[in-house]
Amino acid sequence: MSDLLTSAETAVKLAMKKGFEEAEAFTSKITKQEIIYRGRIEATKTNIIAGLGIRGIVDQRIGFFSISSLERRDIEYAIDQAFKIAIATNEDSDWKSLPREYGKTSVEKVVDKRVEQLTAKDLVSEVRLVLDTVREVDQSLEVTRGYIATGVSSNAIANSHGCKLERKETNAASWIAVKAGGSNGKGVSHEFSQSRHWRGLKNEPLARSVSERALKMLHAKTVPSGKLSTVWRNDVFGSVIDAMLTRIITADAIQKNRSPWAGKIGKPVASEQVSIVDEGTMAAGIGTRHFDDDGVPQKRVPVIEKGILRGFLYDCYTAYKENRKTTGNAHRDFGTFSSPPNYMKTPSPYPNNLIVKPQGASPDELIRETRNGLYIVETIGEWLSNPISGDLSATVASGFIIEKGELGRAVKGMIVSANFFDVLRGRMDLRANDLENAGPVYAPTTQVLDMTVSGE
Amino acid sequence: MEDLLQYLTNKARDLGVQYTDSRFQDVKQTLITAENGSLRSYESDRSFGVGIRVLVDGAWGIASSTILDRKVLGQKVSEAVRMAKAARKLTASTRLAKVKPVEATFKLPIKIDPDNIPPDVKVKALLEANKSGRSGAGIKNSFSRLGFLRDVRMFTSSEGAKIKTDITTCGFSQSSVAEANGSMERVPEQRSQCAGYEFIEDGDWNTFAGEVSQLASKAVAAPMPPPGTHVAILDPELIGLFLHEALGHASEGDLVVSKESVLEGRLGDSIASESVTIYDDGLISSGYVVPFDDEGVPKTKTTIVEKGRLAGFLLSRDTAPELGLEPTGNARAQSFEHKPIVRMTNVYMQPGSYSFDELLREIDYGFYIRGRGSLGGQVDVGGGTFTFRAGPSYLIEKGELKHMVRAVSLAGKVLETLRTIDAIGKDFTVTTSVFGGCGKDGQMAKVGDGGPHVRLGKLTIGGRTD
Repeated sequence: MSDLLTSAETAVKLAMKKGFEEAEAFTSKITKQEIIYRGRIEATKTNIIAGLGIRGIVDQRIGFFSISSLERRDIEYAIDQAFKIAIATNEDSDWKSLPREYGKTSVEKVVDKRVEQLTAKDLVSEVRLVLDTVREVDQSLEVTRGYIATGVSSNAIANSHGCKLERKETNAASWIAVKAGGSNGKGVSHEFSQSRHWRGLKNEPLARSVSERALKMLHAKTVPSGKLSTVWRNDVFGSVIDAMLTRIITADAIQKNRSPWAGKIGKPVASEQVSIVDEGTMAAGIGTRHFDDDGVPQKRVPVIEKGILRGFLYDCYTAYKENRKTTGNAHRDFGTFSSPPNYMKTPSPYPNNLIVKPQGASPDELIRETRNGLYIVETIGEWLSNPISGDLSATVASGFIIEKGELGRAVKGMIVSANFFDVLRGRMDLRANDLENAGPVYAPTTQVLDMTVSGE
Repeated sequence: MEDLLQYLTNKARDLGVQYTDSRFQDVKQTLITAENGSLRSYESDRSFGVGIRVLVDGAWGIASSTILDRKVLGQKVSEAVRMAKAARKLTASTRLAKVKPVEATFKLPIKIDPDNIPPDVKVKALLEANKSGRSGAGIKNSFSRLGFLRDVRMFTSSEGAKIKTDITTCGFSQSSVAEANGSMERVPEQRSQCAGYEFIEDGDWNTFAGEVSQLASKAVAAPMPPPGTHVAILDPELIGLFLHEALGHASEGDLVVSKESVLEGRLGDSIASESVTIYDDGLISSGYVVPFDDEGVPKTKTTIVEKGRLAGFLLSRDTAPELGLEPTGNARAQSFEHKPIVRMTNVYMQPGSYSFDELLREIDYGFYIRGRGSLGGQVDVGGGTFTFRAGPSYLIEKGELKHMVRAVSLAGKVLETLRTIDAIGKDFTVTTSVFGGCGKDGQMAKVGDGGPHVRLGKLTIGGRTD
């Protein structure tokens, strides 16, 4: 048995002794290695974080406290704090119980042994590869910022119903910013890649793509205001879906009237061409885990099937409230590399791997099909959109005019807007075959018709 | 703890590093959430750990751990040195600006330690405010939070610096969702201050929550603005966000050194109208309090723009020498595990002489852009494009405020938009937030910002015509 599981079980026992009627402990150990560079390496980093979150229930009152330690005295301190909180809070009449059964599903490729064995030298040689590739594309290019980071995350969970489980995942991420044009240049481009696997980062093509685009962005200008059809690169469209959908398809948003889709199960919310599924067990998926943060196996959850709203994402709390089964979507973090360690939060429902169903065309075919419009490659501020009203807006940081089915001049600086619910209902029917992820969302390159463009 | 940090400093010295510093941090956070009349969650945590930084052959090696054991941390120091050495052939040849090592203790004076207020008192206050947020036409969701943060940091360096800071921050936030005619709109808003529980006790959060809900009720029925480029007045909350995105990030020394910032090489150039003066100040009243940065450098009041000219950058000890300038105390780390990087503290514009009516009077057609309900902003520093999302705002016609407009996105270019500032109000407000912060390179930092009401001649407003 690992230290993590032992600590979790010890914490549960101590919590029950303290007077809780039910208790659960979630423990984490996260090790990270990172290398930060500009033109040259600026810093190397190695981190270790260990901690525990304790949740206890007494008279339907819930207390939670977390601490960055697995030492016995700190566990006891955390339990005392959680107990103080529990007895001070009001009864939660929706509280049923902690899960009485845990389970593990079989998932593939969530651990890469290579990530666990990486040395600083491996990371350094990958940085060298990035820098060499950029220089190979054009000597005048400058790598203004970049990092390569890897992590191993181990967790254990145990509760007073005798359930216990543990799991491990690996992560790797790479981010590159490149600038063209010397000191007067304004051609800037960024690329990000994230994978469960060290070799999944594909640093060389990433460096090539970011360099080539930075050169093209040198003379980018805005466009006149008006209406345009748009094609969104896969990962950028993924971040749009992340901003617009992930917070309205969770059961807590529905139960608390924070979602316009409450009461719409079985009704059309999108055109027949649109299907979206949360694939909790996808091989090597960024959100794939043997079990969710409640201790329940992850699975496949249809959200939209051929335009019909089929289901929402549940954790145990929201599921038990409706006397139904959880969908295995409990999360204690939100999947990003910089989010706080997962032991610090209580679970809430969130997508595992939310997939927008791709179609058969290549991205190039999509651009040809669009004839005239805008190809959007990088945006800022799409996360500032309002998922409840459906008001989507994003500012284009890098894009290209589509003229007669071909990519034309580089553009940036305009705001593109639409009502996302209208987009779902027949304005995003044409999609490519190239799934890529942005956080928990996997999307293909997608055409969005009739967007309002605020430019000059 | 001082002994442990001293032990790590000695250990690093023995390994032959050029320079080393160690940071211990002990953070207590509490976030209490109520939704639609009931308590949703009461989350509280305590995180502590040590971060060690070594400079070896011009490269930083950084190690951190939550396990405060001499043996574990000692191994981490060796690992940091080993990693820095592995990067030897590709390192940046970092130089450190000379600073006088400081020995100091700074504890923000507070009247009531939030820890001494029993949880049930906090829950009661929160639930009352949450209930007030449920009033208003068509309110479907009232979501309220109380947030508390105590951030204690210790810093020691091989040069002899020894600093301890202790900052407490409290805040209340309300987010309300209203529905009308099949549409929904959410309006979020918060108030925070570096202070003790007295800030919560003295505030009228019931009224605050009610006002946010009324704003949501009104906004859901409001039209969107027409797309295009317009004249705009930004209120103090929004001018803060605007300065943060449109100028602040571009003035960060690391982005200047790497030539990513559009302000690189422009020191002394005119970048804004003559009436514009902008500061970054760690100790401005009602901002986030930063007396020293995470390199032990006092955070001085830095002039970024003086009478329209670019007067300075925000600098750390390793970026200042690259530009031949002095460090400004802006090297900040999210926590003990992060590398200190150049960050803003509180960026604000100096007030001018215009009353609000005078700002309004000369506008034939434009928008009054409000911060209440704003969702935040983002900048592409290299490309020079910034964007932010305002709260419910107002149309201006013939010098008068007209109807409300909602879902207002704004965008502009760093170097162009500042020049269009043509009138500056005489009011002044700075705000901070215990709930959010500014994200950069995967790190969050607590910041503040503000200024007076300001008029801009040209701002791209992303409306919609469907």
